[in-house]
Amino acid sequence: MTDSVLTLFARHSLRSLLLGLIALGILAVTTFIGARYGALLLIGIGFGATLEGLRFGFAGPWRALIERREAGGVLAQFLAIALTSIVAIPIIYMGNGEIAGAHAPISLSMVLGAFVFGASIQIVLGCGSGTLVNAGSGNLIALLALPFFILGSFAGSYNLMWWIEIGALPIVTFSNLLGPIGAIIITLSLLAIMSIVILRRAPREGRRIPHRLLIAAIIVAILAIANLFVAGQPWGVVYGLGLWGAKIFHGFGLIGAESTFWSATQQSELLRKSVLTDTTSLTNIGIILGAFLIAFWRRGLSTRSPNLPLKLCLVVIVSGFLMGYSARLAFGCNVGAFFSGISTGSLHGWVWFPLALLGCRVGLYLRKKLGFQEAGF
Amino acid sequence: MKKYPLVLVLLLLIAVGITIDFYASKTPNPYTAPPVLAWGSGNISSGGHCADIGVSK
Repeated sequence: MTDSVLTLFARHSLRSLLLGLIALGILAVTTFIGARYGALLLIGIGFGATLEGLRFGFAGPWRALIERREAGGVLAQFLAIALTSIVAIPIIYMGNGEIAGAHAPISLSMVLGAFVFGASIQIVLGCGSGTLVNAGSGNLIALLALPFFILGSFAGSYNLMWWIEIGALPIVTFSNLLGPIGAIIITLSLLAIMSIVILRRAPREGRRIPHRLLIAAIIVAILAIANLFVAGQPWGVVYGLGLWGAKIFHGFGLIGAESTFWSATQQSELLRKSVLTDTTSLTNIGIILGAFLIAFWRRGLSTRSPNLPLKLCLVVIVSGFLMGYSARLAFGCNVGAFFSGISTGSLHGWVWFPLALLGCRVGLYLRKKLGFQEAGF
Repeated sequence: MKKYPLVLVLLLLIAVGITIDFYASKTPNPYTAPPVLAWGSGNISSGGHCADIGVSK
């Protein structure tokens, strides 16, 4: 009896200590770096806690859609995107440049990148945000993939201009074509059409959005809008990871003027500044911390991870690198291109999504062939 | 292997990385930091994003 009371007390003390440390971290960033940066770290923690706590994700629902035709997870994503777009599109349009959208061109690199990204995330079983969430909650595959995801993101950004020069169309946004109201109407209409198509194919039991995903979709939309108002740009993941990689190489003097991307004024300025002043770095760190907090709360970190055979380790390393490289070529991952691209009215987000789904099909086939399920993953 | 040590290593690496980067980078000045909200600040959005194609905004 006394022992169980002591254990309970120790657990509560640890949780309080952890919450206190995180609050102290946010306060330190707010005080010594700036209030905007503290707010972005808090928003990132909110994303991480929501994604892990309510099991809201991207790669998993896409797998469920392809393998079992389940619609709920994807519909929740569409709901979050729709809610975000209603606020994001008009404020970007009327913002006089204060708020930027995730607007990118449709290019050959984007087409190839979205397909390869889709395939890689099904091997690693975690998308851009999912890999951060999974790493924060102790998933061995995500922890192994993350450093190579960072390396790949850097390599992709390093070569980005070369890829763009192969062939890219001008940036097309619905706001420029139809105005903000027209852009919202076309975005919501396309999401509704996609939802109907998915629902018609879904089995009866896979048609509803689970309650937890409904709540998660609303929270994710609120956080994405908050990110937009605070940062002046939409939620993104991969840029921050590429910056971390670039900073390591820059620290060793290995990036020079030969990289068109990193020698551009804006990028080289960000290289000289602390990562604590970079929007996507802060939300990425927040996502890991938020997921860790929830995993700790649920006592999910005391479980054991199955051993990963060497062959699968190598597959995860290659897939992690490809995830990062392809996401930069595709102007973002499931967050930067799919979620933020579509919710801010960029046409490239709509091209990105079916290509990534096609890649997911290939990734799921490869995953089965490679024997991840037999190894317990 | 338990997940605890794996996550602790990750958090430690992040903390070490941020610390090294903080001292190697231009020291941030909170007095010249942008306002909390970009919306209504009058400043042009200048952060890095995945949709960036590498040219200066």
